Amino acid sequence: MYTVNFGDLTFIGQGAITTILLSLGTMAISLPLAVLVGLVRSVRKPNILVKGVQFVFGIVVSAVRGTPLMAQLIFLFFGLPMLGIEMPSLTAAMLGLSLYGIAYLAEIVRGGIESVAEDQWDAATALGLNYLQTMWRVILPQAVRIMLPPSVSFFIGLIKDSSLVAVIGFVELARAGRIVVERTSQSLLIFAVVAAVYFVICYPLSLFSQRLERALKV
Amino acid sequence: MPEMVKLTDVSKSFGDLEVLKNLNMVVSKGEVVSIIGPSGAGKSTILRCINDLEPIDSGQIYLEGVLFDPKKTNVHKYREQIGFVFQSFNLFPHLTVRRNVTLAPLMLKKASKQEMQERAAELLASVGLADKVDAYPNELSGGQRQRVAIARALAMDPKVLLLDEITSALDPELTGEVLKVVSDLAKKGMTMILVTHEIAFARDISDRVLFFESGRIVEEGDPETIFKNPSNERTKRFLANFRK
Repeated sequence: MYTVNFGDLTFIGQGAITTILLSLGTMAISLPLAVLVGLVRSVRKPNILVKGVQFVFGIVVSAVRGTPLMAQLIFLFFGLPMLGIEMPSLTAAMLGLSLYGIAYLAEIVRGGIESVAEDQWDAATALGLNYLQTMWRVILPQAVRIMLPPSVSFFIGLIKDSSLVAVIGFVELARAGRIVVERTSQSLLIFAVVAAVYFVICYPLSLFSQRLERALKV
Repeated sequence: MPEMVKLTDVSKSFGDLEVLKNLNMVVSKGEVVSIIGPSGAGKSTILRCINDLEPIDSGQIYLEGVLFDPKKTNVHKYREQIGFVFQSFNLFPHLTVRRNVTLAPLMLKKASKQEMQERAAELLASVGLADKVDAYPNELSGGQRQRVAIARALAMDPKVLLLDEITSALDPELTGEVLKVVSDLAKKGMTMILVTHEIAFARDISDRVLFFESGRIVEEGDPETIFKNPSNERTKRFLANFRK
């Protein structure tokens, strides 16, 4: 029987760091783009150009939300090379996770914007504010309160879902755990450690989310 | 008196429902005009059409003799000149009372923050809310909120004020404080068009009353005539509901 040594634990630690960096990187890329997509998707009286963009965004969002993240990752990393599009696993992982993040967060953004009462538009419009002024100064500040808690929840989910990048050969926390188990056969201990690390990363976030909800009274 | 707002042949439909039918009306500078009539008659729609919150289907709207042309007029500049007070206040809940009042003028008018804040304090004092400048809307009563909404509309220095059933959402004991603000404005010569169910108030404050039904002005005249001696059968029946 093999024993777990210090190197195994640092290996898991590196996996944890990879998981954190992947999740943070995904959020950093997804969040601004999701705001953009959500804003475009929520435009109320779109002209023909905006309508076209809305249509395309709608299809992409539905496609991403309607298929498993694992299948998307496999498609990006193993499927696209058949069309001559090859990318390193880091690129595929970031691309897959970011598309996934954009699709979900954009819907949170759109939902937040649309849940601000119609009469807020009336009030700002009647004062002479234009669409962007109203959006920026009246609607978004209210929508952000609605958007924050589900966005944090999504982030927590993403930290765990990012383990799926293992299918394209990426070694993050869960995969690091499995590798150590293969090496040491200490499955109970190692997986307990892995679960504990996930918990340590996620729990503060859910506490933060709860406090946020209370502070924003939503 | 020169004309402030003029509507000629204005029609507006929502789907099959014709809400305004070839409506003509003129409101002079400094005049206070009340629009009364049964619910669903299109009273609020008139106000919402005047500042283009609802685009009209046909007809013309003039402000101080200048035609509002949806294709050419800068609609935002146009709306700046028309104050609107809503039945449900529509204050910005994320901003303090002061910032509710200063938000639009700070963005749209060329005045310093200092000047605008002083003006806001002045306006809020004039509606009796000098001590509430740093409160948030949800800390105020309905009557206080509506007075903030009036101050907010006035902060843009509008040429005309449109008041859409501004006391309908208030407890009866809170309507007085709001109506007092409106009658103060009338005394100062503010041009106002109000849609109201406060018959007594309309009688006291208005220079002219329009009885509006099914998209048309059925009868109009000075308050004395309309309320004491209406000539139209429909007006008589409507007003009979208020004599108890």
